[in-house]
Order: sequence, then C-alpha cells, then structure tokens
Amino acid sequence: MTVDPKKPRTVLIIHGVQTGDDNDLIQDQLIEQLLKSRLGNMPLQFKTDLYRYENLNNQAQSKYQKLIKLIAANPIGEVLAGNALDLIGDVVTARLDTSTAAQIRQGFKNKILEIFTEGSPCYVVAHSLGSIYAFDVINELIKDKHYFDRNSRRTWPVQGLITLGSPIGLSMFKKRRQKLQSLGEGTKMFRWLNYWDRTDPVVSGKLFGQTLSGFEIAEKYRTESPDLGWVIRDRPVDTGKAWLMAHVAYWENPMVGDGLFDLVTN
Amino acid sequence: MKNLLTSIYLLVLLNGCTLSMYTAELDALNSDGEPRKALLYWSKTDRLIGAAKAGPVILMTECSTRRLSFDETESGIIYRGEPGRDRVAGQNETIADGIVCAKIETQSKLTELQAGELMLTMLCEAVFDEFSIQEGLYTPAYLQAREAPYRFDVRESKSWSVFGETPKAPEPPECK
Repeated sequence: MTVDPKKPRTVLIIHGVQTGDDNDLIQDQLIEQLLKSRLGNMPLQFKTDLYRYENLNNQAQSKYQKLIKLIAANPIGEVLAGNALDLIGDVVTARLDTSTAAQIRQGFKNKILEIFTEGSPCYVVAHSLGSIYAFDVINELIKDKHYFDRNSRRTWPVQGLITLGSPIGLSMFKKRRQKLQSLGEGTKMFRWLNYWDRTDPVVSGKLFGQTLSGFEIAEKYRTESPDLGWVIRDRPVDTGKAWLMAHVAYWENPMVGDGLFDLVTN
Repeated sequence: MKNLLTSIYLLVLLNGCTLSMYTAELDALNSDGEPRKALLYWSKTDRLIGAAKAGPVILMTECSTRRLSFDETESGIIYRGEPGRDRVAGQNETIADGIVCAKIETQSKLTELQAGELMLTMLCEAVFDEFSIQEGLYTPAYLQAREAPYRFDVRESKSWSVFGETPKAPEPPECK
C-alpha cells in the first residue's frame, strides 16, 4: 500500500465544535470553493471530503439534552440551553479522554487509511476542536511502524496538515500533548501550517477576543532534533473579522487558500 | 429606542473597521530564467477598538505552484525557508529550517507596511520532489533570487465595514 503522487489529491477536512447534526455540515464544500478560487488557471485535480462526527457527539450528550428539555421553562430557553450544551459538550468530549473521543479518533483514522488505500495523496484541514483530533491521529499514525517511513512520502497516509483557529495552545489541551511524534532519521519533512486570527477567542482563550500578540502556538512543538522531521509554521492571518466571527472566517480567507494551494501542489 | 441605539453603537464599536488590501505587480524572471509576473498582496484591518491586524504577505509568481507566505518575526518580515522545499540559490545543500529565504526590507512590522515602494530581497530557489506537481508550464519555480532587491509599487484599496469583511485578494496571475 503506497501513495501515488500522480493521483488526484484529497483534502480531508475535520470540523470543530458544532451545533446541529452531521447533515448540517458543509465544510468540504467551503474548502473546495476556497481552493478553486485560488487555482487561477491551474488544472489541479483534487477532491474534498469531510469527516463528520457530530452525530457521535450528540448521542453522547442525548441524556443531558433530555434533562434540559425538562428544566427549560419555555421553547426559546430550551433552544438556547440545548445549543449551549451542544457546544460545551463537544469541548468536554474532546478534553476528557472519553469513549466518544476515542470513537471519533478511530473513525477519523479509518477515513485517512481509506484514502491511503486508494493511493491518493491526502492533506488534512482541521478546524477548531477538530485540530485536537487531527493532532492525536496523525501522531498515532507516525508512531505506527507501518506508515511514515521518513524517506518515502509514498508511505505517508497524510502529506500535510493545516489547522485553522486551533485551541492547541490552551493548557487544557496542551498538557496531554507535550510533544510531537518524531519521524526519525531522514530528509523528508512533514508540514504543519497553523492559521489563527489574533482576535479569535478559541485560540487565545480570551473570552472577549482581546488581540493576541506573539507567534508561538504550534511552533512551541519545534525542537532542535533533526530527527523530528516536522516543519511547523504559525501563521497569524487577518480574517477581516473579530471575535467569534473571526473563528469561522478561515473557510473563505484567500491567504489560507493560498497556503492550502501551496501545500496540496507540493 | 434608546437601548436599540446603544446596542447598534456598541456593535459598531466592537466590529467596525477599515479594511485595506495592498497589491503590487512586477515583471521579472523566475528561477528557471523564464519571464514571469510576480504578484504581492496582503490585507490590513484597522479596528475602532483594539490593535490592527495584517498579513501574512503572499508572493505569487506566474506559473508557479508555490505561494510564499511572509511572516513577521524577530528578523523582520520574512519568508522562512523549508528544508526539502527551498535552497539558497546556487547551492546544492538543503537549508536549515527557518532560514531567511526572502525578506521585505521596507518595514519590520506587518501593520506598518504602507502603499508606495516596497523592497523585497530573494535569496532562495525552489527544490522539488515527486509530489511537486509539474503540469504544462506550471512548476514550483518562483521569483528568481538576486543580489539587488526587487522594487514593488504597492497600491492600497480601502473600504469601511460595520461587521468586518473577508479580504478580497487579487486573482493569481494567469499562466500563459
């Protein structure tokens, strides 16, 4: 099983904190539009795919949803409380090492390996909380001796990673993810581009979206060891928006699109 | 009515901003010695409350699969080279991660970059492997390295928005 560099590329997206269910998710279409808008007249063959796990989250939270229905005094309160539980529940699921989180990771890994079996070069785009799952799964795959021979990208189930508005710098996620899995001796490099807006509260953990300064979020994982094999870039990006609107603005940002183009074509 | 006006006022204060898109174009050579257009762009958002945000600066070269992203670092606004993807022009060895491969000489902070003359020095050239797409005229080759800096004439287009707006970037140069 190896990747064929001549085959069309697959951009696999993993979403973040959501309300609603799997049917509401269209991030694969958003990334397809974004990449197409930055191609110019280059005939790049690619497809996008989305790993959906919101139904898994919803199942895990269903008993609490029922409880909220009993507690909420009116329909509006019920909707608001339900959405709040949906969002907070997603974070708790990812933060705590629950069986649901393990199921989500396994599902995502299976999806990557499915694309690998087809021989298509796969590039992962992970938004928000999805970046935590992507981080875990990619490191797990690097650890597995069947994949990621440092000198042969054909053995890599994932060719590169883009994270958007990732909370990976927050201590609640960082403390369980202290270092990256090293690729070992060799010359090829695995690329991780971390895009974030300085006012994105999910990245900074600052509720009111105060402007974040400094650069090191993903780059804190860099080491001096030549065996690490990761190229990591924090990319503060101007989304033109502020606070939570910045958190959902990456999907249409041309600078992100150009970074994705550069990743996918090389 | 008073509450409504106060809410609108607060909303505008929190989200209102001036959006600037900066672009510049230049006819030059790529590292294969082919005449190519180079296009530079970045955006800046000046908010009514809070610090301005800008960048990254993107350099696109006609018929290139590479889009160089310039970040603000302690060494200024630079494109940081990557082992296996860039090398110092004229040298065969791979580079260390993060080495300065291109630099904007005019300013050291993204939010302070202005319209007008922008000087950019190129030091590296693209390295590629079997995963680098080479389709028709498209290759990874980008703007050629040279001793003298390139001089771009940067134009600014400004707009005002109440809720903020996604920057509208120029189309990549057509490859012909």
